[in-house]
Amino acid sequence: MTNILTATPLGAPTPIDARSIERELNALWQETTDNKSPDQRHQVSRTRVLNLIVVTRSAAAAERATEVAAKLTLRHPHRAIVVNALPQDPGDSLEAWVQAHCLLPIHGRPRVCGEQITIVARGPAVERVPNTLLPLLVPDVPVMLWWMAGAPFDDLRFAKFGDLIDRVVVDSATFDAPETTLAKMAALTAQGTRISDLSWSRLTPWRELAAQFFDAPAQVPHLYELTSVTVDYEAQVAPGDRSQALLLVGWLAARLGWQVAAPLTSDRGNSTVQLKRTDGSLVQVTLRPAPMQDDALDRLAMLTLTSPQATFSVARDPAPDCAMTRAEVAGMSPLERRVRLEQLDEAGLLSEELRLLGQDITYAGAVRMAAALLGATE
Amino acid sequence: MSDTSPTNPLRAGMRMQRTPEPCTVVIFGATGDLTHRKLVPALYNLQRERLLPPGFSVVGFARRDWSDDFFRDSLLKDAKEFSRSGIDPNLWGSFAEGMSYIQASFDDPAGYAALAVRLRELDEQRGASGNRLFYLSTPPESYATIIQQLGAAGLARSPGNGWTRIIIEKPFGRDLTSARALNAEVHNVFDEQQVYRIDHYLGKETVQNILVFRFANGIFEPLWDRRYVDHVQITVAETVGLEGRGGYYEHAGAMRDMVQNHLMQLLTLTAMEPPIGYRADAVRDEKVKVLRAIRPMPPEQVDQHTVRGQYGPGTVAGQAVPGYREEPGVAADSMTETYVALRFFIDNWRWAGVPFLLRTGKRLPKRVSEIAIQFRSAPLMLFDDGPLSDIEPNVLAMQVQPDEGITLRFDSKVPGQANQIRPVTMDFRYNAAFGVESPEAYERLLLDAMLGDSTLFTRSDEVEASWSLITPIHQGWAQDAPPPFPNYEAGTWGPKAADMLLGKEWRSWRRL
Ligand SMILES: NC(=O)c1ccc[n+]([C@@H]2O[C@H](COP(=O)([O-])OP(=O)(O)OC[C@H]3O[C@@H](n4cnc5c(N)ncnc54)[C@H](OP(=O)(O)O)[C@@H]3O)[C@@H](O)[C@H]2O)c1
Repeated sequence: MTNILTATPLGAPTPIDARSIERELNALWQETTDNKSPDQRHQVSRTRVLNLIVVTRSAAAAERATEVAAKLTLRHPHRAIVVNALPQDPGDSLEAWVQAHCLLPIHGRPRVCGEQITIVARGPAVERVPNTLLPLLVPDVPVMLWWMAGAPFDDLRFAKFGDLIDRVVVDSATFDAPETTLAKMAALTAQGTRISDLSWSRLTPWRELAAQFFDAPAQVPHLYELTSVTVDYEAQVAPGDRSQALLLVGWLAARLGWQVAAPLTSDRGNSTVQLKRTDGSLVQVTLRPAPMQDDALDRLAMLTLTSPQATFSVARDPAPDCAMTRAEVAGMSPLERRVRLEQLDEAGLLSEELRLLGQDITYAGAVRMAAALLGATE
Repeated sequence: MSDTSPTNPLRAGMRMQRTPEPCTVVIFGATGDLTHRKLVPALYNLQRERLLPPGFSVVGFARRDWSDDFFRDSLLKDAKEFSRSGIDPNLWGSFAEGMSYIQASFDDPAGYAALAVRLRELDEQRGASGNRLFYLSTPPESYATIIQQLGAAGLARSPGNGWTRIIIEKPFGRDLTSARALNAEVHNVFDEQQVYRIDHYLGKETVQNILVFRFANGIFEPLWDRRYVDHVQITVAETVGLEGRGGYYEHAGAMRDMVQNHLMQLLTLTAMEPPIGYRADAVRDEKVKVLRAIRPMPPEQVDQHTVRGQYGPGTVAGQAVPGYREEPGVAADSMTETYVALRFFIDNWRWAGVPFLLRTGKRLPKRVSEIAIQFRSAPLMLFDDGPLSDIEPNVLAMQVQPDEGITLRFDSKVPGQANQIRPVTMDFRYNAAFGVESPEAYERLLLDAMLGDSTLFTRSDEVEASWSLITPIHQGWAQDAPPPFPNYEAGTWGPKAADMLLGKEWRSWRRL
């Protein structure tokens, strides 16, 4: 399903004029339809469920964004507007061109195509991008902004997007200082900014596997009696970037109503933090650096939950895209099984995040607690 | 559903609000075709999607002398071919650990005693806590035997707080009497809440989408009645012939094989009133109400409201194909229908006087299932000299397969000086908007049964209400003079006689 074909050549770069861009896009769609045998004409359909603005800072990144946008077409047919912002470049220019990407048809299925407008902004023209985008948006569907690398929050250009966008997608694993940025993201989320963090999306399979232990009602009580949580995460040098591990613990804490009793301290590589359960008992949380296995951005290696009567763990497995889960409950033989723990690429992660239109309150709770673990005042 | 169990706080905000509790699925007929091609691939994909609980197990039950290992290997071989995601050997290994096989005949109490022992072991070793799902994937003649034996072996109730449920495959009975008898057998042993009668059409996303389309949008429901609708056409067309199922089909025919279950489901979902909630009994109450409102056909009127067909030799997709009577397992003078068209009226306030035209058949030109709502014409011809009947009325068509989507046909002006009018269509393709592959029907249905949600399964009164409409038709046919079979060529849209059901000269069967 991921065969991608950029069927239509890129249009010539032109100065930006919304009407001529729309005209060119219409012509492109006409072409993708006309290339087909007459009885299949109706099969190409132009559905757009959202606008996706991608902000990049190099030609290479813009190309990657184009690839991701093409893959996304399958699940979220959209209009992509890739903005390659090059403020340091000489000159002062805005240029745009359009293109369509179609997925190779699956037998008997209609062909799915997506459309893209690429804008290159050089020098001071970068400032004019947000307003230029306004007339280019497909009306009546949500507008998502994907800030492809780094943290946008202190960037004045980001502020200018303000009211234009419904949701901003970032990847905190690509931030320069991910841990300190957690507090900023917690504050923004608290004010109602809708943020998606791909680093958080990478936790989805981990969260599902952890939650699944407690779908059996008999196991739920153990959840309220947890005394320790251990997260092993990959790091080059200890303590490294603990932000993903903190988000995972933040999620547990928020879901279970734990409060920070003593914020994070580090000792010989391990970091520890004490939390207080709703019944007043303490939970010991330990974050342990582990050797790097690969350069994948999902840095978690293992999660272990312990209560007096039971231990539950999820551990990444050497088999690709797999994990082992283990439940040891007093009075029962231990249960171990291998399950899928997929490493999604950017397109896969975005695709999951774009399903969400409103505020992700689970994330909001998790990031708030993650910041609190680091000692930020709530 | 009993909702006294503590909920899982970690599930908040996840795509699934819960996954099933640890349980064991027992498949009767585990060496058969359905188990290999559909059920086990569906279970594997659920496991792959992290939707099956830890400690999940499968016990196969059938007659052949297979070992546990042979059973696993046999399933793996077919799963590789039929699983929509393929097979990851690492995941399969862990999945197959929970599989075992019991060899016994369905009428042998020793087999059920062995099953009871196995289930107790699994409860202990794998934490299944007495939760069991029995799946009858067997010839229908065996349903009653298995149910009686399960009852006799004390397997109809779970130990402790566990649940026991049973999925029954189609066909459920072959007429009203046998369906009632089977319901009685079932209820001798199981409570209705334990019973999940399958109609795999309900597991299809696009069939579920009929209700979403009708009741999640505000603009269609006001038009959905006799004031605006002229008639409704429901088509389920197949291009295939018998595919080696001659023995079964000869005794079933299109009416039992397709109309009584799939077409009636499409009809009820299209015509039902809004349920008071999206809950199993609320939805099924409304479906039963519609079935009860359908005007029964007295046997002597059946020939006015139904047309039967049987295909002769012909051409499908450029290939010459044999006629029905030449298929293996079919009698040379067979009178089994491979095509049915019929007209129902629903005598309630919403639908009084609106014909519901249903047709289904094998060896038709195209594989397509759709529901078409044909609206009334505009009351007056404003734009042209021609008669009003020259403008095509509006049609809203919901395609169920293979190209799931929704099409609205309306009239528009042809560019130019004259007021010439042409119908145009507005197409929404489900796959083009959401190009992802939908899960297989059996995945959804197995998961729902494990979760205890019976919304997409047929209730006993629903099955009986449906048979009570179909059985008089069979009785009428038995009294009528036999039709001149074969009466349509393979690869055509069925017998011409079906046109007489349309009732008005401006109506026609949709060209699909
Ligand atoms: N196949 C499909 O695509 C499909 C689709 C929709 C519905 N269905 C329904 O699903 C059910 C099963 O269909 P199927 O195609 O899988 O049938 P099948 O291939 O004929 O399998 C029948 C199974 O029942 C077992 N069996 C029969 N009599 C037995 C007895 N006395 N004792 C023990 N085992 C016995 C057979 O075991 P042995 O061979 O070991 O004797 C075999 O495993 C039927 O109700 C059918 O209508 C099937």
